[in-house]
Amino acid sequence: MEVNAVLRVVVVRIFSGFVTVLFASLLIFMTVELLPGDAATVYLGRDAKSDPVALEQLRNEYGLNRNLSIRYCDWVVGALHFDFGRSFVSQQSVSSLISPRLNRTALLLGISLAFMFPLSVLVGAVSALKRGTLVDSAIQTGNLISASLPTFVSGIALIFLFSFIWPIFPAVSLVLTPKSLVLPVLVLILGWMPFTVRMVRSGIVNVMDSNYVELARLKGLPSARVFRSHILPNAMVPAIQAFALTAASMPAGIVVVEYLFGFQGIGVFLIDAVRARDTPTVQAVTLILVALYIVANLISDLLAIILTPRLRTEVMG
Amino acid sequence: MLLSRVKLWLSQEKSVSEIIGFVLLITAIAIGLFGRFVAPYPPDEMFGSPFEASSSAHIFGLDYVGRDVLSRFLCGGQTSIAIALVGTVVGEAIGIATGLISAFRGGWFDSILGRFTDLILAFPALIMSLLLLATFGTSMFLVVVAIVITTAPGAARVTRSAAQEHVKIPYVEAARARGESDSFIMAIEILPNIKSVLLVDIGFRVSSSLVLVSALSFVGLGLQPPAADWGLMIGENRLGLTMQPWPVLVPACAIMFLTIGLNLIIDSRQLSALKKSVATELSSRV
Repeated sequence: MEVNAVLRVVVVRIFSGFVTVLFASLLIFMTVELLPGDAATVYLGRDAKSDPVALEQLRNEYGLNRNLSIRYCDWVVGALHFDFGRSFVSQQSVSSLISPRLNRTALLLGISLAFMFPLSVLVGAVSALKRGTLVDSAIQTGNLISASLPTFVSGIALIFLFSFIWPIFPAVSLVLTPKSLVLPVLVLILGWMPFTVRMVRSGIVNVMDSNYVELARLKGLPSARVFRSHILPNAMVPAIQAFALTAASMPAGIVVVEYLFGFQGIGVFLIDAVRARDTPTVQAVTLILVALYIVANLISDLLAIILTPRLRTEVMG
Repeated sequence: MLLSRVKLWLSQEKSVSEIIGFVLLITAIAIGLFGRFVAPYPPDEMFGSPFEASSSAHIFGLDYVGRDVLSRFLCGGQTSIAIALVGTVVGEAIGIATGLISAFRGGWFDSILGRFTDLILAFPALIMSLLLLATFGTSMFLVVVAIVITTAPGAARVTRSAAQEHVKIPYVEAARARGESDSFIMAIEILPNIKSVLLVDIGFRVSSSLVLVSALSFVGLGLQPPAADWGLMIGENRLGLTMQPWPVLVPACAIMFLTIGLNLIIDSRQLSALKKSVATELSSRV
């Protein structure tokens, strides 16, 4: 019975996430239509007026003369097959341009997240167990500072330290080598870790103050055992949720980090496309990033529902 | 009135981190607002070769086209601070108004607004701004618009949930029975009661708007050259970091002061909702 109810909530959430992605795609597609002209006029800029032949040619080539709803449907159906049309700038298919860059960004993201999670659990646990001591306040202060620094500031500081004062890592990551990945990964970890650390700390502190941990202690269980089998599993729920939220927001934040290091990923690609006003490319990358963001946020929600019994009943009734 | 407020505030007990926060924030804002008047040179004038090292005439040396770094730094905070403030205030005003109405009226207005904020919040702030700039071109006005659009839905959501708790409390019912109008109840009865929640929210959003403006200028899509701006200075001069670090480090320090200062203050004022704040903070993380 209860399993069915949870299943229903999960299905409803997934459906509404799907609807959100659909509306987001509509918003992305419609933004350019708000202009008096169209994507072709935007791209050609001043030339659009002086060269009507080129404008007409571009419109025909990209099918911009067709009905709006037909174009939207075309675009969405194409996107489902990872086909986003051709770039205005390079004339190549957008998806063939995106693929290698998306892979590089995924690599950077994957490495950062893989290091970040265990590290933030460790730091958060130390901070919670040493609550009220100097270690705890040092961690909390460091956490606050690294959460408030924009990545392009902390990144500059790291480049200054490790490529200028003590040059052991390259300042730019144009070519993909293990060494060139160190600084970008470090910036991402520093920038996003504080949120999970905070959640791990508060999770453990809350559980430590609860009655059943008190009981386990009074039963005479060794404190290492209490920590391992009572505190940690319960404190992990908010940590996993924070981690999912982090994984959701990192792909958007990575744009600036990639630009800082000249890392040839999807973020730098997006910035170049925005500058060139290459609408098909901007729409494609935006849709991918937003869809990722929505899906990861959805996963975070679902994890919370599935993992927390209290929330499970709250959501259902 | 204002003076007595300041006196009251000074007499209240403050934590060390809050005091440090205020010192950092006020220093950075003072430089941003008044630096222009003490700048030794005009920010656009070229004095020598690119990335010339520090000298007695130019304490922080010259930038990538040979302009005085100190003068550009002193002039470089005003615009982005102004953009962030204007954008956030307008966005918060829209958000607070719609959030209040939404909590108070409920019904179709509430559900439509809820769906709409969900949709906008499905976009990370930076991505939403890039989409706007790609379509409409880069301009200062559009950066303000981007901040308004990314601020308002979050503010509306925070206001709505804070106000909703108050709508049920009898004092609102009493006000209704007295025959007070809806807008009076919202502005005079409910708003003062949720003020502290909203102030924390505004502080947090000013900080993230400021980071957003600087990040956009840093990637070359915000303020355009030859403007003197902290974010832009970091972006323009970063390739010379190994030759002449000052044009990058000095503005980076100013942004660091601003964001750390604001966050120290917010942190010491923040009472509630840890989980919610993590989700909000992450949605605008740059």
